[in-house]
Amino acid sequence: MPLPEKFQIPKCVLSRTVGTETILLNLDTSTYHSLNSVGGRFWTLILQGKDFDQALAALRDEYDVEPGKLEADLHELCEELQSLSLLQRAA
Amino acid sequence: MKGTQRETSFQYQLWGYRIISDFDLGELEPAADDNCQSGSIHLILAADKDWVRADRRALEYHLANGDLWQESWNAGGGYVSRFPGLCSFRILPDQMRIECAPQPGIGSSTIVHLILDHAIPRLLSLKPGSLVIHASAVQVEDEVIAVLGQSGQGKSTLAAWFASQGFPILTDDCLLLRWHEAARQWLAQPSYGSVRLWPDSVDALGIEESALREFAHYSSKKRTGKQADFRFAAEGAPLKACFVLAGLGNSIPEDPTAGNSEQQHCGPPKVRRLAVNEAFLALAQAVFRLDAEDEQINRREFEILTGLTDTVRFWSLAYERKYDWLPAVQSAIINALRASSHEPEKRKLP
Repeated sequence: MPLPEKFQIPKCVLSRTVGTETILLNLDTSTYHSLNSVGGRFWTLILQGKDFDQALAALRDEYDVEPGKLEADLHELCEELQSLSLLQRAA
Repeated sequence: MKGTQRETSFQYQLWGYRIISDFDLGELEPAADDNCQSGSIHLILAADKDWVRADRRALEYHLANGDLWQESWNAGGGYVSRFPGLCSFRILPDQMRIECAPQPGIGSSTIVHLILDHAIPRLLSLKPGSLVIHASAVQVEDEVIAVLGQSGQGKSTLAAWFASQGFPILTDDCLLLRWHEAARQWLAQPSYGSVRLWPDSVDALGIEESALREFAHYSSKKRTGKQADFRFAAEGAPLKACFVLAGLGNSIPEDPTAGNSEQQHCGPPKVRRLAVNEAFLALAQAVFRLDAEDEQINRREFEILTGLTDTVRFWSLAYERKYDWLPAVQSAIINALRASSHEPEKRKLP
């Protein structure tokens, strides 16, 4: 059985949730990014040390969304965040 | 004589500081002890030949045509900020000192403009507990509202219109926000008693020629003097709302700092509440900076900008750039403020 995907947020990334959105700053690139409410909730769960599956399960409980679509969207989000150096796989 | 060195320094007050200056900055009020409790800023005429350039350029701004408008780099405990062909500054925040090296032949109005509207705001932007944004601001019903937008979009005209209707104006271009620890909020601070306007705005607002002076040699904008019948705010007040000017399709080409227009808006003015990411981006784009890459500065700025986004209301404002619409723009702004006053108070900073 494969190990769960575990992510971590680089020290160079700051985040703050404002209303329903989460604003991110990558200090290495001096660029800002934002996440919508679902992405922001996922981000918070990662910040709390949850792995991908745990975060997915939590979001399934919290949002009324088709489970397969939610998982696909989160995988896509993780890839995008990694491509922007906002998220990295934990060692 | 303006823009030239004198043996005796001039002393003014601005944003709570005593400005001790080699330059005649006639726009400013003479220093009064009670109004200079934030400290002193020394403004020195200098030559830039000995200024050291660091390897890393900290920031650069380009004009719409691609020409370099301003660049800054680290230099000996501060920054050198250069406006090619116009003037260079060495800005030393630890000493609260600005050295100014004008290019030969540059007129006093241009030098004064660069000192007041670029060098001093950028020095103060480095101070913890302060943020300077490119915005005009007026006081409406005990609240300060700011208008954000690119140069040439109408920030000053809107501020002057409100001022002509009796609303106190805080600034037409550089808004200093200062953290007030006791009140746990950001206070918008009044700047100096002058507004920069295009000739058509001068005509539309009915300002007498005798109340105007040159703004800068490269612009047909005029700077209003004390004769203009505007009311300026005397004290800071909490910033409650920001209106971000949408692309108007009418940026003025002769203004070297004017950005490209994005879209036309016709008909009555429209206001729209901005999403968090839109508001944050508008604020971030409006900040006066000397260094876009310094980690400590960026960390501090991030905290301030997210805090402001969380506590201030933001709207997009689109209006057709015809002066006949200004009363309707005023109504749209005030109606938006009044409608939002029934909403729950935005979060207060902890």
